[in-house]
Amino acid sequence: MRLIGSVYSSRFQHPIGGSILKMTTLEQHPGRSSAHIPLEKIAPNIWEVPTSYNPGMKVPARIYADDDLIAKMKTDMTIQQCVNVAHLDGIYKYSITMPDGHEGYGFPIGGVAATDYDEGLISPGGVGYDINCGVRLIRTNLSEEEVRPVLPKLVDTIFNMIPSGLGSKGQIRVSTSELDKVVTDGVEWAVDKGYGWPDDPKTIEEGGCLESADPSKVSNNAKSRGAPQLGSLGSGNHFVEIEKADKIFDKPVADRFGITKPDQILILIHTGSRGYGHQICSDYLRVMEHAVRKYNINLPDRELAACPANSPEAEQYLPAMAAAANFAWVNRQMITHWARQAFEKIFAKPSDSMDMKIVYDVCHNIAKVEQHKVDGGLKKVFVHRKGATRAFPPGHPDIPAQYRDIGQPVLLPGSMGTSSWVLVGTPKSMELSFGTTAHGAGRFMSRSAAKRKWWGADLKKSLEARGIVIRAAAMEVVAEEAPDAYKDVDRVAEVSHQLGIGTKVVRMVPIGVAKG
Amino acid sequence: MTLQGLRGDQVEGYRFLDHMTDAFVEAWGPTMERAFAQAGIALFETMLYTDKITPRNTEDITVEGHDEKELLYNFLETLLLKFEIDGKALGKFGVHVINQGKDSLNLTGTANGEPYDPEKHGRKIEVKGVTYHQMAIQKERDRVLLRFLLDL
Repeated sequence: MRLIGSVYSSRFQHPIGGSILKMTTLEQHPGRSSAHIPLEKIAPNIWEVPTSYNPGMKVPARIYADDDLIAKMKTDMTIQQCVNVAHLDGIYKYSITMPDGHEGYGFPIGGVAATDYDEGLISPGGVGYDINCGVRLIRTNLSEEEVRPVLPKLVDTIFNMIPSGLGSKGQIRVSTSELDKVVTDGVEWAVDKGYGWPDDPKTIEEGGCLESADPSKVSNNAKSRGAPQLGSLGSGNHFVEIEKADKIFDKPVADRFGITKPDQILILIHTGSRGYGHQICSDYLRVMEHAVRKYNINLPDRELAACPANSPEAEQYLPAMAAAANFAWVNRQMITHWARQAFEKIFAKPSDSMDMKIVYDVCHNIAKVEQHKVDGGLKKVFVHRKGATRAFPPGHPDIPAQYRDIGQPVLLPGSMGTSSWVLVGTPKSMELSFGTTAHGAGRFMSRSAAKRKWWGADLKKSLEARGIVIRAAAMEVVAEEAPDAYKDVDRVAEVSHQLGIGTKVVRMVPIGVAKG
Repeated sequence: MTLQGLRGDQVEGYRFLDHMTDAFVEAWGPTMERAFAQAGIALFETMLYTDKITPRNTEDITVEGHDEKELLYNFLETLLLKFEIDGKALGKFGVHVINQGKDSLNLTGTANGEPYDPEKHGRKIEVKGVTYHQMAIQKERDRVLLRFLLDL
C-alpha cells in the first residue's frame, strides 16, 4: 500500500461504501519507505549504509544496484530490511541486497546474509516460504525453425501434461511414507522410478539432494499438503517456458553449457517445494517466534524470527528445510520428465536424440553451509539466500566436475514474455557477495495494481502478437504477472555483469509459456 | 467490484489493500466473531470465486490461541489446510463464539462449502501461508477491524 498510495487513494473516491472508507484511510498506515536512510555510493553499483547509522548494526548494509534500481528500493522497505538483517548476531562482512531486491517479510527479497556456523543466528525468514524455489534449464538440439510450426501444439501438450494452477496435484500419488523416501533420497528417487536419466543429478545444485534432510522433523500437515502436489507447477510466477537462445555473449562458456547457436531451443522451469515447503516454513516461523523469547534475542523486526545456530530449534529446522529442498528438486525433476515426454510426443523421436540434457538447476531460496574467506581466514558459515542465486567461481569443489574449470551456471528467469539469462559465477562473487548473484527480475508493481492496469486476455493477445504462445490456468494470474509489473531483468543482469558477481553468457527469449 | 474493491456492506465486509507481492487483507464486522467470519471469506476469495460455492456441507471449526492474533492465525491456517489437504472450497462461515478458556482463547464455529471444483469455483492464486506480518486487530467504537497478510 505504501508504494501505490496515490493510486489506491483514488479508489477511495468511489461512491460505494464511502463512510467506511473514511474510517480506514491511509493515515492509519503511513507510507513506509527507506528514503531517510543514509546511503553512501562507495563504487559504481555499490551502496552502503554504515554501522554508525544504528548502534545495533553488527556490519554495514550493502546494496548492489544501479541508480534507477536503488531509487526504486528507496520507495519501500527494502533498504530498511537490509539494515535490519545487519543486526543478526554472528553476521559476517555485510548484509547484502541484490539488484533485483524488493521488500519482503523480515529479510528483503534478494537478501543475502552469512552467519557464523557456531555462534550465528539461523532465520527461516532468510530462506522464505517457498524453500528451494528455483530454476532449471534444459537444452535441446532443435532450432526455432523446427519448433515454430508445432509451437501451439507443443505448449498445449506441456500445459496438459504438467499440472498447474491453484490446487494442482501431480499425476502420480505418493503415500506419506513414500514421500519420506522422496525427500531423503532427492532426485535419485525420481531417477530410480524412471523420471529421469542417470546423469541428471550431475548438473543439479548439490546433485539434487541435501543429505541432511530428515522427514521426522516435518509435520504431518506439511506431508499431507505436499504428498498430492509432487510433480506440479503451482501458480503465481511459476512457469515452464520454451525459450530460444537470443544472443550469446560468452561463446566458449556457452559452448560448454551446450548452447551453441542463436535460435537454439531451450526449456526453463521455475517452481519450488509446493505446499510441503510452505507448511514447513509456516511451522518453523512459529517455533522461531518462541525461540526469540526463549533465547532473549534482540531483533529490530520480530519477523526476522531466528534462533541460535547451535540450538535444538535450529537442529530441527535445518533438516526439515533440507527435506523441502529435496522435495523441490524432485518436483522439478518430474516436470522435466513430462517436458521431455511432451517433446517426444510432438516430434515423434526419443528425447535423448534431441539432446534434452539438464544444463543446470539452481535454488534461490535456501540456507547453505559453506566456507568463505572473512578477514583473511576461512570461516564456516550459513549463507542465507532469499531470492538470490549461488554463483561459485571456476575451481570451486561444489561445482559439477564438467563445469568446474569454467564456473557455475547461474539462471535468471525474467518475467513472462521478457528475456531470461544464463550467467556464470566468478571469483569476484566470493569477494563481494559470498558467492551469490541476483535471482531474476523482482516485482516492480503490486499484484492488485497490475490487475487494475491490465486484463489477462489483452496481455495474452499482445504476447501472441509478438509470437509468444501462452497457456495459463488463470487469466487473473496472467495480469498479475504482466511483464511491466517486474523490473527489467536485462538491467539486473547488467549490474551483475558489471560488478563481476555473475557475468553474461546467454540471453534467452520465450516463444512459449505454460503457467499456473 | 473487482478483487481489490470493497465486499460486503458497511456493517461487515473485507477488502484487499495494495501490497507488492502478497495479499494484504482488511476484514471487519460489528463483533470479533463476525470480523473473523469475513476474514475466512477473504482467504477463500484470494484463491477462488466464493460466490460460486454452494454451501452443501458443514464443517465444524474449533481453534485455540494464546492471544487474539494467534487465534486469527490459527483460524486462517485451519481453513487453508481444509482447502489444501481436504480439497474443500468454503464460502460461508459462522463463528459462534470466541471466549477465554483456562489457558487460551477458544473459537467454535462452522464453515459451509463443497469439494473444490476448478471448473465451478474458478482458479485465482495459491496461498502459501498465513503470516503475522503487519497483522492488526483493532477494536473500534462499533466494529472490530482485522488486518493480515497472506503469503502468495
